Amino acid sequence: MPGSIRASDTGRTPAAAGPRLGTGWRWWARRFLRNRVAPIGFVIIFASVVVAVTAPAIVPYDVRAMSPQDALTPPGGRYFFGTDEFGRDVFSRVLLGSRVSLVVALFSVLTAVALGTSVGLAAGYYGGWWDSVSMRAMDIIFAFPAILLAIAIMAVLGTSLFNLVIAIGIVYTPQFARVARAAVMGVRSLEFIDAARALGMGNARIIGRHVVPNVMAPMIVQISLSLSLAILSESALSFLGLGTRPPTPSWGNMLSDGRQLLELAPWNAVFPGLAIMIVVLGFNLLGDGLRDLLDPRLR
Amino acid sequence: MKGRWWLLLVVVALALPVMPVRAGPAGVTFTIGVDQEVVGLDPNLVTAFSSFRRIDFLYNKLVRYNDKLEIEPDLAESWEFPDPRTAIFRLRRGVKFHSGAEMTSEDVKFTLERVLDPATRAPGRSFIDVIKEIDTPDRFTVRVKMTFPLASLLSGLASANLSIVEKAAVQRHGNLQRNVAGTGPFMLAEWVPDNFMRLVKNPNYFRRGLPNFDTLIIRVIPDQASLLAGVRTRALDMATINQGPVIAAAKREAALNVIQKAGINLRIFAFNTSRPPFTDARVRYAFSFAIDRQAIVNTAEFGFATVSGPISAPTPWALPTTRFPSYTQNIARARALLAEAGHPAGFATRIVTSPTYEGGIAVAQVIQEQLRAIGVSATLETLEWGTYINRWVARDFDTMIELRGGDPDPDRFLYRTFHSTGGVNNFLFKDAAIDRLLERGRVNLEADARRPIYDELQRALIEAAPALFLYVPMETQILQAYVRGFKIIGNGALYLLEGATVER
Repeated sequence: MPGSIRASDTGRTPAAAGPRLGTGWRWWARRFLRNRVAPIGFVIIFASVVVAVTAPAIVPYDVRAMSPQDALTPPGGRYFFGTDEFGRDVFSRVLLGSRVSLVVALFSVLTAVALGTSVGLAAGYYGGWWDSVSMRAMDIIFAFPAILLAIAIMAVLGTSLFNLVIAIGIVYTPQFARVARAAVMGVRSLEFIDAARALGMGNARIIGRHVVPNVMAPMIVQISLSLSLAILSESALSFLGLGTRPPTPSWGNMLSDGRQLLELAPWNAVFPGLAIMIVVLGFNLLGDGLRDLLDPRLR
Repeated sequence: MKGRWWLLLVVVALALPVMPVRAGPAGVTFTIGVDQEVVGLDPNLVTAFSSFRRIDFLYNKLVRYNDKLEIEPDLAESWEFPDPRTAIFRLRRGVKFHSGAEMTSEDVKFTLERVLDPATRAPGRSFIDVIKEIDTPDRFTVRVKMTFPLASLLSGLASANLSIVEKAAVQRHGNLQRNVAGTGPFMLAEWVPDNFMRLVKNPNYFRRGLPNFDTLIIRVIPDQASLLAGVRTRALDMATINQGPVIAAAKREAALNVIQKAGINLRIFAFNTSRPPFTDARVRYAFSFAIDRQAIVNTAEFGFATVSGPISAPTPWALPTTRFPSYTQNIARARALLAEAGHPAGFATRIVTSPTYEGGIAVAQVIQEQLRAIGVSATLETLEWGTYINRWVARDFDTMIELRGGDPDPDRFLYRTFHSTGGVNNFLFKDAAIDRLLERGRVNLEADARRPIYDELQRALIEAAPALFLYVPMETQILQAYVRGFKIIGNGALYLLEGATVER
């Protein structure tokens, strides 16, 4: 966020249109808190990250330990969220499942950002044949339904946490490439870029110092929205048996197992389902809020 | 006036589509729900359980199993063994194929030769490959000569893979994957893959008066909970299910009839005995002590299964599992065996499994957890069904969860599974003593002589442990209360539905 402001001292940029605005973090915090939804999203995400980080220490039961005599115990009493067919504690598994969901979401989006932004920046800045070739490649990836592509990649690579990150990362790369390219095209022809070039700045420095900061705003919004999609993708793949391997709990594979028990023990599907819903809602609220906050036209 | 006339026409035109279409031929329609579509219908070629359950209605064998798992006549009226290497079958007269042609000894000879021909690649070949010569003294007699006496001959002939097909039809069509040329109680009328199959009553069926239904519809509904919902809403009259949670839910429903019988298919935990550390029998036997089979049954199958040894528990040949020391969980003994084999601290291994029922992912999870107690950390390789099958065929696994088709006769299952030359010995297991027992067991025709051999063999297989024998799942059908007279057979076959009636 300070990045998009720093660019403003070079001259007329989209982010600096209009009268001079406050730039300190207090000013941003005030605006953030005045936003109706972003703080709620932030609190949800912050809480889930705290849960994910501390989960191994706070879970009441070993998530792998089976106690057949307690199988399918309803929620309440010793088991806050009840137990599954193996007698494992659903509450502990939902808490620990947050780690897989968040880690996979975070790293797959980072992969997508790294790949997508590089491709998009280069395409937007240099244009020409590189633009055509790379953007058509992105179009090809875009043309596949996201889940289908992820399934195909998982089928080729095999199931593992690392491959899951790669698969989801590839699927979301084109979105970042497109966003980055569009943002770069917007600033490429502005005077401050010409000025920088006239002063003898190389392409790499221009991209690093002047272009990247200007594409940060739309990227941040895209990142927070993609995180929610990545969580859903991880769940979907694990649900289909292609993601996280048992006995590691993830919300997706818990939901998949719970589906069979929907009649006998609905808590097995309800709680991981709620967890997915809440975290996805959190990222969406945060993303929407950030978009309002960072969009210069809404200032 | 003119305007009204037009109006009347419009009303009639609109009403026409909603008026009841005249129903097809009146009669009783019975609808079954299953969760798997079949790839083909050629009885001599298919291998899937789901295909067998269709063939049950379309074809007959020379002999078949009744609901007590005893051999009874089917197309053969009677049979005799003039000497241990010869069998003579006398066929029913007047049996007609669906085409209207009469079934004769020529068709039987043709079917057996078709199965025996290596070019056919018939899965049932190993059941009858002792046959060296088939001749037909007359139109209704078949004489079979064998290279050595085979105790499980009748059991092999009772397999759906040995259903008798019409010679002329095979010659016309090449194979019968999409065509039916049987003698069974129902004839194929319509097949919409992945949706439904409509069978109609065979008016010439040789069991006079049967079947009691005019139309039999088999609907494919891939999700078992939806099968239960289908029975609940009366869209289905019967459904075949095997998932514990669905069975448990069905049993809570007072209006439904859940019938179950101990099955003969065997759930096993297979070792690749050519891969260390499973080359050492002590390691495999240690696993046998480390697991708690009843706990696996209770959690993975919701209790709807029976703990079993190498011979399916409900068959008369099976020794009680109390005779097997390793059937009582004994962690100390397991650790001692592992230490003896040079793995006092355990080791890491992998279990191949699949989310389908056959792939037994719940079983894999329980075993994975139980093995932690002896320091063995197992990783699950959860594979999509097609990949799972490929790995099975390629013998590419350390350990694997499987569901094996069992048989009422011990020879047919054990020989092809554990003999060093057995067709489905994908444990790559070789043991000269066990080979000898398997060979002796099959050539003795007298039950009294066979029994001690198979008793010894069962103990030997438990200790050599090419696989851990876990349990036999129950065969389960959910039926409407108005269905009468259906009998479930331990081998899962549905042909006794021909005698069932509905009293709606």
